[in-house]
Amino acid sequence: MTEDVLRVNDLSTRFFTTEGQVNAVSNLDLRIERGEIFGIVGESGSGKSVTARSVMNLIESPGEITSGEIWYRNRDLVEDVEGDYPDAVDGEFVDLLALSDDVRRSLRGTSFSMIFQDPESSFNPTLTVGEQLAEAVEVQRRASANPRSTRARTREYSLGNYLLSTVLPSQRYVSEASHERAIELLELVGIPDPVERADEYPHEYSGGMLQRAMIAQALAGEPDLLIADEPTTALDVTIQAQILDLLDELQAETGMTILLITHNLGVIARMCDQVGVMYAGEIVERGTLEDVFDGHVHPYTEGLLGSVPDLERAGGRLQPIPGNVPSLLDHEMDDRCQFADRCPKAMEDCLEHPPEFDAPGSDHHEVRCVLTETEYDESRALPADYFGGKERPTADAYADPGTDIDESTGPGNPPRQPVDEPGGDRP
Amino acid sequence: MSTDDASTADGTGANGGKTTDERSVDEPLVRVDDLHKYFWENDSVFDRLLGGEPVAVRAVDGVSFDVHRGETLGLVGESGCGKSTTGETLLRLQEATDGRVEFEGRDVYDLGGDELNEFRREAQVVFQDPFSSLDPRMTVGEIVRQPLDVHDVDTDAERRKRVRDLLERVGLSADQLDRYPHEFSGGQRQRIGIARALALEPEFLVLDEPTSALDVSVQAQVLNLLEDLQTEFDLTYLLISHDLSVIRHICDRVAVMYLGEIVEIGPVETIFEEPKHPYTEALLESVPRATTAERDRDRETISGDVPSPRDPPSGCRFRTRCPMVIPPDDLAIDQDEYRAIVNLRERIERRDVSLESLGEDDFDAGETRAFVTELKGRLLESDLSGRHEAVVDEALAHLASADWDAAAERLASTYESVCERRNPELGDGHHPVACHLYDDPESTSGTDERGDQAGPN
Ligand code: SF4
Ligand code: SF4
Repeated sequence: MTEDVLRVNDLSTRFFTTEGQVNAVSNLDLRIERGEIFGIVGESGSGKSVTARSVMNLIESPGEITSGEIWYRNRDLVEDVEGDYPDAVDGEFVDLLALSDDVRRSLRGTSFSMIFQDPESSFNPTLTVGEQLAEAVEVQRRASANPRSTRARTREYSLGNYLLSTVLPSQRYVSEASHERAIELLELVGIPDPVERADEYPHEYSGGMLQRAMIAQALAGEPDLLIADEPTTALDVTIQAQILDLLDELQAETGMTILLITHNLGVIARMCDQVGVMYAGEIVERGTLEDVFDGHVHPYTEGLLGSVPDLERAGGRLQPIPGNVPSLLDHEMDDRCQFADRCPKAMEDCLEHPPEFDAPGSDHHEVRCVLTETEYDESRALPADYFGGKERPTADAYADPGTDIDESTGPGNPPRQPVDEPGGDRP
Repeated sequence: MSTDDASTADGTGANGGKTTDERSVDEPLVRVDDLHKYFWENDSVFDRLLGGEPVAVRAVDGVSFDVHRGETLGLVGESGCGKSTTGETLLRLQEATDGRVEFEGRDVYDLGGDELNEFRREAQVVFQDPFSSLDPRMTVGEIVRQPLDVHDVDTDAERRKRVRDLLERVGLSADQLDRYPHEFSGGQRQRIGIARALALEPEFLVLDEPTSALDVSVQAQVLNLLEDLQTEFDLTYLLISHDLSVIRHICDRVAVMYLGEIVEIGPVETIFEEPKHPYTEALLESVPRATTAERDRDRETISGDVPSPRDPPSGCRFRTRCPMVIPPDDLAIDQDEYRAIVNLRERIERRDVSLESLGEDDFDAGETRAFVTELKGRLLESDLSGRHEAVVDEALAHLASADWDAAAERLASTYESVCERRNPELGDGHHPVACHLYDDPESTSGTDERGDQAGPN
């Protein structure tokens, strides 16, 4: 099966902050095939989380998707919306950005689901895990029973749903069938003794178990595409291994497609078929795992891989990338290779914004770097102080505050280790 | 054991107890001996009025190690293992519950006055987020300078010069002196934290997850900087980290912690290439490698979560998750089956099985059989072989009348492991490990009733 399930064209997401316009994602293209695990890797501020949230329609003010198309392949959806949105339909694809918010919201859970770094945010502490899963099942059932073809009806549904959930305690609101399905889901994600666990509250679950429960919740609507945003970043390494195994098994069992967002190259290597490396709001190198890890061309990919200390041998000195994550403020960005100020091979050619070039390796291998087509030529190299000369091998240049978009828009980066001690008195 | 031989090959063969030769030749800079740090819950006046018993959280529970001059010792483990508390307690940032710490031969907890001041200058710490405890209105210059002011070092002009030198040395430019911490990136802030820690020319730095909040490209810069500084200033490091790749990269020796105890300690190469403790092996297996070979790597991961340090398991604390847990000598059973029964016991002992959905507790014989079958189906993933099935059935039948103790006892009498009876000792030498798999055979067999008494030392 090699059909695209998602085609993102020319997506730009901007944040309009007091300091200026932040170009979090710029003219990004993405193709994800059905049944694959596509990984996006990047550091804080690279735009990887914003990309995921843009696909999920979770961008909130002051953020905005300012251009682009997100084509999603789903024949049923085509049927549902072609009456109201003829322009949004192309063959089996629907452009999500051309649909109303209500219709897009109705796709959450059934078409797209998302899991996060921090499972607490997905659960209400006052309801049992079973109730909440049953509720997710119920919502999906209603959503799929409810045609999306008219706005009015969709709105009616949401309002009714809202009233029900506020007026009635959820136990009564949830049917026997959905309760049973909740238990099945807990079993599916490997929670031992799901019948009893369903009656427990989120705080009675350990971190790893709650992560599993969140995955169960995301699977309640049998989504086409699961977006996992740093799903194991807050977990200890032995629990991370369990959760990655679980995602792998679920993917193999259900054939779902996964878009995995992470800063961790090991997690990418463990899970992904296809990889995109993001830097400053763009994918700078993409291809199969082999293309990116073994046949990379982009100096940033090289630098990223060179920065990871090797677990398997006592390495020599690390080869870090000099400098810092760049500013994404529109008025501070030039139309050049965004990596040029940190790149050891920057040349005059790089002052023009490079397109994505086809690179050796698989058909999927594309690199946004002039080195794909041009040999490095020292005579054209940019002088060391070209970008202000603040760069030194061990020095970060002064970085402007407020450029850390991933950080300010919710769960995402940077990775943070949970506070070490239970009952400890650390702040 | 073979590795112990290696450790004494160069010495005079003094074994057991004090390695006196080692001490006189190379007195460790820091010596931690049986350090304990408990936190108390339900310990407020209010709790006591309500009659609640204080509960001890045994964050650090009898930890001993040396840090030698010029080396980097790594303390690695998962959250809650006590590694950070160990670091803070040995620096006297927290009060120890029990145990002794020596710095340059002097008892740290006995120090007062000038001696304590001296210790506070010699031993510094760098945290994951160096500014969480600092006034955000202080400039970077003031932050780095503060320790010099507190300890009243040098003249004003000298202090100013020293601050500029320090900032330059850690890779910042001295004209950033008047900026505020929030104006800097995470990597730069960590450099500032390091400059501050170096201000008093310490001998010893505790680095507590110094790069955990940083992006990997910036982490690499900071790790390189730490290595350079160590060489330049002859520093001794205790590096606390959950990141095994960082540990391997920067440490000379490593101590692996689990639930408040050190389970294995040794030279970094040995720990990574020939780990002995099943927990160390599991940790190493769990880390995903950043190479294309990772997808096809055989991984032996472990199940379950870390138990609570409020009520740690008896005996070996890793036994609730250990894939190698040792069956009784006279029992013929394969490891998977044994692991399954051990898990079942665990749950029955914690009364962590809900019986409500199975009906009331006055069953006749037929109903009891149905109860047992149903419960077994729920609690065990695969069928047991004949003999073990019979024992489990007997035990579960006690649950039909909600007799938890009888059920637990029935299982204990057949399946009790040495791993739950005795806490394995860490021992001495170059590469000690706290696991009964490495006990010398004489002391394991025939010492069943040792109870809580310490194992061979
Ligand atoms: S385009 Fe030029 S500056 Fe950019 S990564 Fe390639 S070589 Fe470096
Ligand atoms: S003592 Fe027993 S339970 Fe503990 S690590 Fe060794 S084999 Fe495993």
